[in-house]
Amino acid sequence: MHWFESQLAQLDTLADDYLAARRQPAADIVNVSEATRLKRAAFIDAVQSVVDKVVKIEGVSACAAYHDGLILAQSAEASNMDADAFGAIIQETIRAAQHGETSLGLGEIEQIVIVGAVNKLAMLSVGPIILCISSPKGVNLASVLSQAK
Amino acid sequence: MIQNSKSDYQIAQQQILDGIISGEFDIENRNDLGPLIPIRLFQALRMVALGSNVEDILGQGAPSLVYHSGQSLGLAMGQIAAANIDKDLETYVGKIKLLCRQLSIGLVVPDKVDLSAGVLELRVDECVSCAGIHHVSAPICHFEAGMVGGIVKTFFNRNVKATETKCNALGDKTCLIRVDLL
Amino acid sequence: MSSNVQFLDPRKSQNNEIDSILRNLMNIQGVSAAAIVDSDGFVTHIHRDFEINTDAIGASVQVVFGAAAKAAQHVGHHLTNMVICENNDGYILSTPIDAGFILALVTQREALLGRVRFELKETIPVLKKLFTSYLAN
Repeated sequence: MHWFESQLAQLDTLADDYLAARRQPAADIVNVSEATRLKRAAFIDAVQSVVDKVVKIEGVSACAAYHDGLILAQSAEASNMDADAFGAIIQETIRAAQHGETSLGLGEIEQIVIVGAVNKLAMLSVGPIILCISSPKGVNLASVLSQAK
Repeated sequence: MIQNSKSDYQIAQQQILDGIISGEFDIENRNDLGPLIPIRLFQALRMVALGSNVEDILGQGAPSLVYHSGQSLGLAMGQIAAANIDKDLETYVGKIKLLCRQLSIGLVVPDKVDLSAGVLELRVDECVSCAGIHHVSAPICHFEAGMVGGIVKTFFNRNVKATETKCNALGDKTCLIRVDLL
Repeated sequence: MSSNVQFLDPRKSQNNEIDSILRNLMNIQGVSAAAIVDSDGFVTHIHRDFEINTDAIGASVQVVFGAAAKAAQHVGHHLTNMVICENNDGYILSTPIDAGFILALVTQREALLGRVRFELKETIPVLKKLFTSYLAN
């Protein structure tokens, strides 16, 4: 498993932990909610950490995470990117792709890549969030992400 | 050129409060009709203009607006009553009672004063807002609750929470406002 | 006849859980105030890192939320789950809890809206349960 795959696997595990905590019966609401909050915080901190690492990879121009099309994590370096525009495109794209889930039998959407004449954008579904990575068109994203350490 | 930063409502508010402070209730341009109005007109303004109409626009935000409006009046009344009384609670209450009677807001009667517990309860008998109104499902005198809250807040210089716990319109025969000093 | 007003005494120690929730919300990047406002616009609980006129903000939050909820009803959107005010210098997010109580968050501009909204959405069910038990007692 290469570096980025292992990062995604770790995020998936944390997301599953968090979602499982959320489903617990809440007789003791205060303690259960605190446990869920800690799992949520662990997941989001890990998302932020991956975003911070990915944006430093040569060839990657921006990386951010979104929830319902709204920015959830971004790197300090990429704070000048148009987060709202990214969010809007992500929402639109995910919605369009979700039509294919059933009509084309794709199953739950895991990744979407849009390649433009200048740049490309990869969107990866991780638990409740979408991780979004952008690079110039010529960059082989899969390759640079797999070779990163 | 001097800019007038006050809105027209604020200008009118200042003139109305100045009139109350002066204790002079005669009013210009009302030579035939005089300074008094039928209580139903006040209630129309309070329960329609500042009640159901505001509720149509603000929904659950309406009572907050009305409470806040009453609090503004209560703060102004408190400042009038607090002048030259050397922080004496009895004198302050006496002046408030007189002011509420002069303005026909209601007959204010302290029902319970427990300063160690930080709780005061004031009755407003013959409350101007809800007199003659019946069959409501919850207290409706948010304006008076806010006003009493503002009055108490001014004297104690502390945050307060005023809640109407009994209301004439509920069938309680009087309005009771509990004020918690925070 | 008794009143049906809901009164949550902010001085009581049973509200430690609520304070703890507000404190956690304050730990989110960019959040500068977290408050609970009752149906009269009174701020029952607040954590903030700057001075606020609590009377005015409480009433304003209720008024803004109420107006937005009314507008939603007028266009057939039924219940309002959250109102977000986007301002020059930040956001104000308001979410209904129970019995007219509202949770309001004030953020700086650098706050990540999705992060704050996500946390708010996750926190509300907990607050709803706490309030249900408090108001029932």
